Amino acid sequence: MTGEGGGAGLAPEWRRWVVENLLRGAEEADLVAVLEGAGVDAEVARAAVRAEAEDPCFEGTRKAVALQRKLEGLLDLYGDLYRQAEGHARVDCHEALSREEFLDRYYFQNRPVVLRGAEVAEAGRWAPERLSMWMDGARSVSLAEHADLRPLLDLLRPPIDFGVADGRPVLTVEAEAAEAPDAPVRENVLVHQVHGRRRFRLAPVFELRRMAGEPSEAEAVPRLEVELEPGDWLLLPVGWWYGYRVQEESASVSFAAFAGATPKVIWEEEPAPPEPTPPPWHRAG
Amino acid sequence: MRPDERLSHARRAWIAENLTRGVSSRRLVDVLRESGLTADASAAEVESVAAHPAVRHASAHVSHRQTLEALLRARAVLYRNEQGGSEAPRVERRRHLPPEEFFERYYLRNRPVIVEGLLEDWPALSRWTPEWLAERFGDEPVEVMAGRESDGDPDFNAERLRRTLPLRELIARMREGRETNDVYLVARNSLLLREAFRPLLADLRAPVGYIHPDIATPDSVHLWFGPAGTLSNLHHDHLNVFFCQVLGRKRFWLAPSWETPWLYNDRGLYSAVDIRAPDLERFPDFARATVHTCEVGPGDALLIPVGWWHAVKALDVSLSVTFVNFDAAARNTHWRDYWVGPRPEEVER
Repeated sequence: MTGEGGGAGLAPEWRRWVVENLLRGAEEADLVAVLEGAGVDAEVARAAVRAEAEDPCFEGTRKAVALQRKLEGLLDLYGDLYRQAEGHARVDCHEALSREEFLDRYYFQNRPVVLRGAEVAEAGRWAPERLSMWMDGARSVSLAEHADLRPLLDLLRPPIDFGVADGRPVLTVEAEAAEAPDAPVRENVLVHQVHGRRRFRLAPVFELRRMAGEPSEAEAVPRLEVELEPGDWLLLPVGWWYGYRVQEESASVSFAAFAGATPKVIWEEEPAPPEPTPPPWHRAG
Repeated sequence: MRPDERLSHARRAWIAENLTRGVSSRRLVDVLRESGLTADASAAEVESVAAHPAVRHASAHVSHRQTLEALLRARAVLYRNEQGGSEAPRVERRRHLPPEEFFERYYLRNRPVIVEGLLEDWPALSRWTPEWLAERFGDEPVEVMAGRESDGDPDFNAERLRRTLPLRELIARMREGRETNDVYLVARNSLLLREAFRPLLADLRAPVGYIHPDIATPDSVHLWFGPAGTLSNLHHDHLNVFFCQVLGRKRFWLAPSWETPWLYNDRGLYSAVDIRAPDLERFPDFARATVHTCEVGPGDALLIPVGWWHAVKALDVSLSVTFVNFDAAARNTHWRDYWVGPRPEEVER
């Protein structure tokens, strides 16, 4: 039960257990009681737990863990505020929306929205069989780089000037019943359905912990659902999560929203490590 | 602890904290070398801390921490874009703001707003002067925070600064006219819970549709009274505060809740940054903060959204009233797990 050096310390696995539980916020007295119950001498147990709690490595770790817990609490707060808003459980769909309203109520509020579009111009040119011929079997191609397909960009009639051409437009063709698993939205994306139907499931930003956790946790997250039909435009807001099922053979164009504007709003996939906090000693000079 | 033990303790805690935050070992070794340690000693120190069971256990969460901070950074950039990039960010000023819009556009969006003229029907606006208070309540003992200027951390250490003196004397000190941060009657002094001061509630009105009408509920309303020069340094509150200015002017600095990673929150809900002279060499991330400045004067009401960092300076002798019970299904919305580190009473002096 105890390590070498006679009564002076705990075995490594017990040390780990004490430290992990102290980090979780356990009371020292409760940990001592468990150790005693496992046969450790009362005084030894008390001293060992105290020693871990006073260790500077524990102290520093606890401080960083506390701040992380605090930041997770901030996401929970955003969730609490979000759920008090009317209509939070659904994706708003509009037949018409001014640019100002789009920006104010959705884009800058980091919320999804669907603009129900007018008919797709020259719909026949977007038929999946026709497109697949040009795509050489690829599921997605960059429209700007594809000489034969590039003219299709000119057919797009976004109801608002989203800056389509700057936004690295990508054409995607998918077979019926294809499914896209949950993925994070790394930058604000506009999705334009040009053929077929897809049913989207979205999870809000503040659900990060569960969406990035175990599959069972992610499944438990309530989703916002919306079905896209030809002509529809969907704003996928940065920080959200999205997945979809293809209900009917689909062709769609997606692109980064307002890509011409800077600085870019990007949720980095591999952020650079942070800089150290100010050290506790005085700078020389 | 001896001084050298104290330094070693602080150094190891600093290394552990930063390893857990995801700072690279290499970077920590560099900083240690800058402080005078040899390369070998620095590397050995960082390695030994990295091997500690606490650090090893917590390191499993580093990547999630990075993801979370990156998400908040994206939000910050989106907000700055909305504010118009290079222009100084502004707190909106509105007049005749319907309660529904107050909640939808500001409270629920976690954004501040100043509502002008909202307190026009308050008798307090014309009645409350230091002279009148001295005349009406002069003999009553009041509790204040005193000795603030000689305390290095008067906001964090507020509990040990409580003093009691007659209101008349407090007001006389304020009327000396000097700017001072030494004495301040704050919410925690709970003036309105005192029987003698309950009549002051009759001079207030819960702004209709914004604040819950029952302002007699203990701790739903607080009074702040101080000389020109009081400064509450950078901190945030864990719930939404509706700040109503009755007498005098106050300057506010505000930074968004999502910028918390840049605010050097090293204890409780306080920032290590001094708003009077931010040390950007020591606290470089603070340069990235989106600091809004605004002034509130008599009759103005400011929503300080939950989690928003703020500092407040009185430009004149000032009387303010704060409300925390809103007229909504949920009276307020709280930030859980908001306190970092030991409580003041636990801190070794």
